[in-house]
Amino acid sequence: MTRYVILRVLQGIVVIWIVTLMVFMILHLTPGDPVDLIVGEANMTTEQREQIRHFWGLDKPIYVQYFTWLNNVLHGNFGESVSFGGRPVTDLLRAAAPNTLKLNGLALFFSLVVALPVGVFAAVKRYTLFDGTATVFSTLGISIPNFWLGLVLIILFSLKLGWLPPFGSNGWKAYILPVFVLATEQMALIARLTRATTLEVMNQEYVATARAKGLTERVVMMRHIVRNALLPIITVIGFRVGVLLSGTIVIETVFAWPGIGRLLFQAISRRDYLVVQSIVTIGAAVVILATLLTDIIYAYVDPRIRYR
Amino acid sequence: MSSEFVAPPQTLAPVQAAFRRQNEWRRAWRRFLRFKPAVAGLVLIAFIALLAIFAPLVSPYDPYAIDTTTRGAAPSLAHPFGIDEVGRDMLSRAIYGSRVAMLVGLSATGISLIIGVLIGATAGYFGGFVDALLSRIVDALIAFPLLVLLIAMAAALGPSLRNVIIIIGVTVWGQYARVVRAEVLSLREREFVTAARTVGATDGRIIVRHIIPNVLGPIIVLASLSVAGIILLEAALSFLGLGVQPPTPSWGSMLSAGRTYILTYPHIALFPGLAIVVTVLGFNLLGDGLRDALDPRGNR
Repeated sequence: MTRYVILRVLQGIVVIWIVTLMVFMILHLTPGDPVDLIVGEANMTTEQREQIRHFWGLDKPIYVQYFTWLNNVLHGNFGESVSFGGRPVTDLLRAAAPNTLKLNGLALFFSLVVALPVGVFAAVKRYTLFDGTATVFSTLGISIPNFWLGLVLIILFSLKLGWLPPFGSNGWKAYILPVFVLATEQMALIARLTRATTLEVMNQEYVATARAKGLTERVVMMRHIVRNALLPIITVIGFRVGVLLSGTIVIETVFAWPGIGRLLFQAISRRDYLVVQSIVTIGAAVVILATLLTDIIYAYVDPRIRYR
Repeated sequence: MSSEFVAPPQTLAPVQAAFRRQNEWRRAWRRFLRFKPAVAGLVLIAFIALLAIFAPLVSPYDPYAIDTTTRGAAPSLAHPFGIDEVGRDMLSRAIYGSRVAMLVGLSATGISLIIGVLIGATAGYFGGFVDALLSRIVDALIAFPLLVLLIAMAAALGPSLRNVIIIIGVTVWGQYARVVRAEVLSLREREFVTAARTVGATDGRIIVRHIIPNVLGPIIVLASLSVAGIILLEAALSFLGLGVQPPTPSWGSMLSAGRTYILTYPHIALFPGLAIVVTVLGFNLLGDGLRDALDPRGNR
C-alpha cells in the first residue's frame, strides 16, 4: 500500500510539472508583444517600453522566466494582477474561491444523493418504467447545455413567476438555480454510470454464488451488488471535480456569481494573463490532487488495485 | 462481389475473411437497428445534417439581413423563432448555425481522433519509457478542467472558427489515447501480431494495418459521444464570446445575445438552445446505440 501511494504521489508531481510547462507554453505562444497587453492602448516611447519589459522580467530568456514563475508559484506567490488595480492574484483567488466551492460542493452533494439510488434502482429494475424514465432523463441531462438550462430557468422562475432572484449570490434563494443547474448535469452522468456498473456487477459469478448459497435477496443486493457497484464511482468523483470546475465558469457567468469562473472570464476580457495562468494552473492541480486522493481511497477499499 | 464465380482463387481464405468481415458489420448494423433510441439519434443527426447542407434552400430569410423596424419581435407565423436584437430572422440564423455546430463537431473530432489513436497506439505498442512519458502527458492533459484550458487557449490564439476547431481538436484526444493504449497493450501479445513481426512487418505497418483496425469499435463509440461533447464545448465558448465571432450565426453566440437581452427579449434565449439539445441528443443516442451494437457480448 505504502509503495502504491508513493508511486502515485510521484506520478502526480510529474503530471503537475508537465501541466505548468503546458500552461506557460500556451500563454507564451501568444502572438504579439506582451508589453502591449500590459500597457493597453497607451502611447509609449521605446525607452518606457524597455523599462516595463525589464520590470516584469520579460527581457530575460524564456526558460529563466519559466523558472522564476515556477519558483514564485511554489512559494504561493502568483504575482500581481495587471488589471485588478495591481492586487496580488492570491487575494483575488482567496476572495472568489469560497463562493465557487460552496456552489460546487452543494451541487456534487445533491447530485450524488439523487443519482446513486436512481442508478442502482434503474439497473435492478431494468427495462421497467422506472428504468426507462431514468434513462430518458439522464440522456436528456447530458445533452442540455447547462448555461441554456440556466437561462430557461431564469426566464421561468425569475421573470415569469418572480420566485427566485435571476442574478447574484445574496441569500439562500440565490443558490437554488445555479446549484440545480450544476447538479443536473452531474446527476445525469453519475446516474448513467451507476446503472452501468451495477449491471456489470450483477452479472458477476460471486453474485450467483451468493444467491446459490441461499442468502436473501436483500443481503445479496446490499453486500454483494451495491457495495461493489459503487466502488468505481469513487474514482469518477475525482475526475468530476474538473468537469464541475468547467461547468462553473459558464454558470457563474450566467448567474453573475462572484466566483473563480467569473474571475477567470473577467481576467480574459481584460487580457490579464497572469490571473488566467494562475487559475488554469490551480484548476489542474486541484483536479490532480482530487484524482490522487480518490485513487488512494480506491486502493484502500479495493485491495485488488494495490497488487496490479 | 461476384469475383469468386469468375476466377476461383487458389485458396478460399481471403474470400471467407471478406465474408466474415461483411457479416460482422451487417450483424452489428442489425443489432443497431434493434436499438430504437439509436435509430432515433441517427434520424436527428440526418435531419440537422440536411439542414446544414441545404441551409440556403431551407432558410426562409437571409440570416444576415437586418430589418431594424422589427427588432426583438416575438415569434409569429412569419418568423416562428422571432427576430433577434438587431433585427434578423432567428429561424434562418438557427438553421445556418447548424453548419458551425456540425463543422466544429466533426472536424475537431477528426483531429483529436488522429492524434489520440496514433499516440495511444505508440504508447501501448512500445511500452517502457515511451509509454511512461506519453501516459504522463495524457494525464496532464486530462487533468485540466477542459473548458478552462480551452478558454485560456482561445484567449491566447484569438477567437475564430478555425481556432475553435484547432484548440478543441488538440485538447480532447486524451480519451482516445487512453482507450487505444489499453487495447493495444493486450493486442500486441496476440498471435497475429507475432506472425506479422515474424514475416518482417515494420512497427509502423503493424500499428496501422494490424492494431488500429482492431480498436475501431470502441473508437467509433467514443467519437460519436465526443461529437456531442464538442458541440456543447463550442456552444459554451461562443456563449462566452471566445468562439465563433458575430455576425456568423452560431447557436452559442445567439444564446450569448439571449443572455444580454433576457429581460427585454426573452425569446432569443430559447430556440438556439433547443437546436443544441436536438443535435447533441442525436449524437449521444447514436453513441449509446453503437456501443450496444458493436459489443458482441451483447448486454442487451
